Amino acid sequence: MTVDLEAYRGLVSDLGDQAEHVLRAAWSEAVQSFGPAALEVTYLGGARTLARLGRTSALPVAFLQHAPAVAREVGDACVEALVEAAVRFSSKTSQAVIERLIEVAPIAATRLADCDLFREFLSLIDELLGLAPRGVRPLLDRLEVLLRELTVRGLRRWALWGARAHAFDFDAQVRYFSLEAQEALSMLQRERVGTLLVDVQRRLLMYLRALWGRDFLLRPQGRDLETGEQARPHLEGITIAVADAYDDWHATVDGEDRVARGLELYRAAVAHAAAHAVLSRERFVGVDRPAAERALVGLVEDARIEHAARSRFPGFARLWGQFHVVSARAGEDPAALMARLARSLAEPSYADPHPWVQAARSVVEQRVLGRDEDVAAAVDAAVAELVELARSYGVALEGAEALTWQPIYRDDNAFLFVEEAHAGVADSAVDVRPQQQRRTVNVMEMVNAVDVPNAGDDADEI
Amino acid sequence: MVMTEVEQYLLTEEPYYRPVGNEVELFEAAYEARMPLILKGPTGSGKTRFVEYMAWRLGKALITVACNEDMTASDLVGRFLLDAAGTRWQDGPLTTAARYGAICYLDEVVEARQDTTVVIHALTDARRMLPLDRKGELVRAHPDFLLVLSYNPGYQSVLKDLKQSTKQRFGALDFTYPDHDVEVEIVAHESGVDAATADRLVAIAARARNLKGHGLDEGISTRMLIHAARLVVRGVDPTTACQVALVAPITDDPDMRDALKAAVAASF
Ligand SMILES: Nc1ncnc2c1ncn2[C@@H]1O[C@H](COP(=O)(O)OP(=O)(O)OP(=O)(O)O)[C@@H](O)[C@H]1O
Ligand SMILES: [Mg+2]
Repeated sequence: MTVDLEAYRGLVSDLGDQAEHVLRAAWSEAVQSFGPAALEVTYLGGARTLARLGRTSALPVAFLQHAPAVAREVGDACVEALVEAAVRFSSKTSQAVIERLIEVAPIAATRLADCDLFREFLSLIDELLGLAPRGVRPLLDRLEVLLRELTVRGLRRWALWGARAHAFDFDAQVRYFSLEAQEALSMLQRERVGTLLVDVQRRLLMYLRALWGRDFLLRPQGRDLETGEQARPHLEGITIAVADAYDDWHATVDGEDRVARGLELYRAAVAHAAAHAVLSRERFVGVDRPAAERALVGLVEDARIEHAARSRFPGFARLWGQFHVVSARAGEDPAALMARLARSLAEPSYADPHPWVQAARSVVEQRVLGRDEDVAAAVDAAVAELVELARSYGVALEGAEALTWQPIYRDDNAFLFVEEAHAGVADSAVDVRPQQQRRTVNVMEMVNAVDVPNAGDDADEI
Repeated sequence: MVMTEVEQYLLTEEPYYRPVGNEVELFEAAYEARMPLILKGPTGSGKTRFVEYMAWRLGKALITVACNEDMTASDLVGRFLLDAAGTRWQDGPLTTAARYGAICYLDEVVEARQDTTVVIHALTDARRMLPLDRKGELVRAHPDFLLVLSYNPGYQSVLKDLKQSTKQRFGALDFTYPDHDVEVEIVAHESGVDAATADRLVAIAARARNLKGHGLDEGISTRMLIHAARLVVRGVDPTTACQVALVAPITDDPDMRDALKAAVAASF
């Protein structure tokens, strides 16, 4: 599609020669990055809004130049957020700082790769303008380095620490935020993360494509602001939402240290979620179901898809197994027993001494593992038996929320559950090929098209 | 007994070839009709081995020429050489094949310049002859003569492609990677590795082939799998063998290497 710049020239003609010059250079990227409506409203409209903020055309010029990259990376809603932020900041800081913000916005967009995280970045700047006004400019100048090492949450903790430490000393603010102060570097070291998703997502996508012959999407999600906990992976169609960063993972198992690199944890997480996307075709009744039962459904379905995936990829036993660290020592509270059952099912050579765990394991092995038809019915029946067994062994399962005891790489299993009406039926919303388009073709086109060698599940059109 | 010109090119032993489809029958039919053939397919997919096998099966001599961009028409047709007795004509491989009735296999023919490949035109249409302009001779092709070209469709560019007038003189057989079980059989036979390992290796290749066009220019070929399997037979552990024989040769892209390495790890 070509959109004619001439049609819009009137909108920007009063912004000056330089603006027009920049617009001309940025136009083709802008057309590709913005939708047709956003092109006029968000892009050109944004430039006009910014023009009203200052006496020179510096802001609109910077905006016309850099906004297309932001739109391309994180969407035009984020460009709107950027304009709103600039307007808000104009009462708190100089035009030069806002101009710098616009210039580095593409860096933030590229590194954060998600609209919500980009907004968090803007609100951090907002906060800092109040707490450490002199620190903002140097921070923006060092943004590329900072975001190479930190997630947006890490950046936030690093920045707030500096702002608080030097609340009344402008010179010290400048030294901290320009990374000249030693303490700024050591704080950076502390907030630094093992592996950032942006740095490994290309190889993860290739990995998934190699394994399953299909494309997936990866979306970064940040830590919980209050608890600092990393959110569980979450699956939606072919989109896997996964932590924006993973630290190297440490555990002590039978007195021995076990370590997995961040990349290895990413692999385990995306391989599990992708196995769900390919193999978990049926949905379960979610409403009016006790939390413990839902957790069991997730546990059993996880065991089933991992079992199926391991038979194709024996190496998954190692990849996932390393994260199952629970043992009898963990005790017999509900969460520990669930984790022990999960491990028993993931690791055939692990023999758990608990009678309920043993009995539950053999029920799942007999009724569910290896099955790929009428799955929901089989899983539901097995879960009913596990609940019954728990009663007869006097085991309490209530209070074992899946998110606490599941090994770290597993997703939240939320996608498994639907409202009553559709349970059990393969869910077309989770068709792993939503990018496919239906269109009518003439017969010859079809004849030619069907005969494509190697056109597998991943063909683009049906 | 004097050895005839082409007898040295006869294959003495049956080459191992595992048919993948009906290519053997098609080749035989084409040979009967003396229809020249192009074998199309990615590198290492068995084209060369197939021609060797067919030559043996038909009891014909096989003269193979590996083409390259420096090759001239004289390299195919022949030239005058200077020796003590003066000048002497020396037939090129194409001329020898045409004169004495061998199968001539021009490997990777797109590598040769287009003005070189046109010398085959008169040989591959109804005329079946080869004019030796320098020598002033017109060689009529022996009835047994057949020309076969190989061609990797992945590599052609505007500069390196056959002219339509060349292509349209040939029938073509497509070579792709064989089905899983067939490829397992080939890998096991050629390397001596056990069937279970061959099975894993072929499964890895299938995974890597998913990445063709998504960061890889070519899939892992049967040839590469045989290399990996031979390392395993010599005691190299399978993961390392895959790294050396499959992953490292096929790409220098660090992300791709990492992804392939991880896919290999998932397979053992
Ligand atoms: N169908 C087959 N039967 C037996 N061996 C095969 C078959 N396909 C491939 N091979 C094995 O693969 C190896 C590579 O095949 P070959 O050399 O014929 O490939 P090619 O297609 O000619 O490759 P290139 O285009 O690089 O010349 C052979 O040496 C042989 O061991
Ligand atoms: Mg799960």
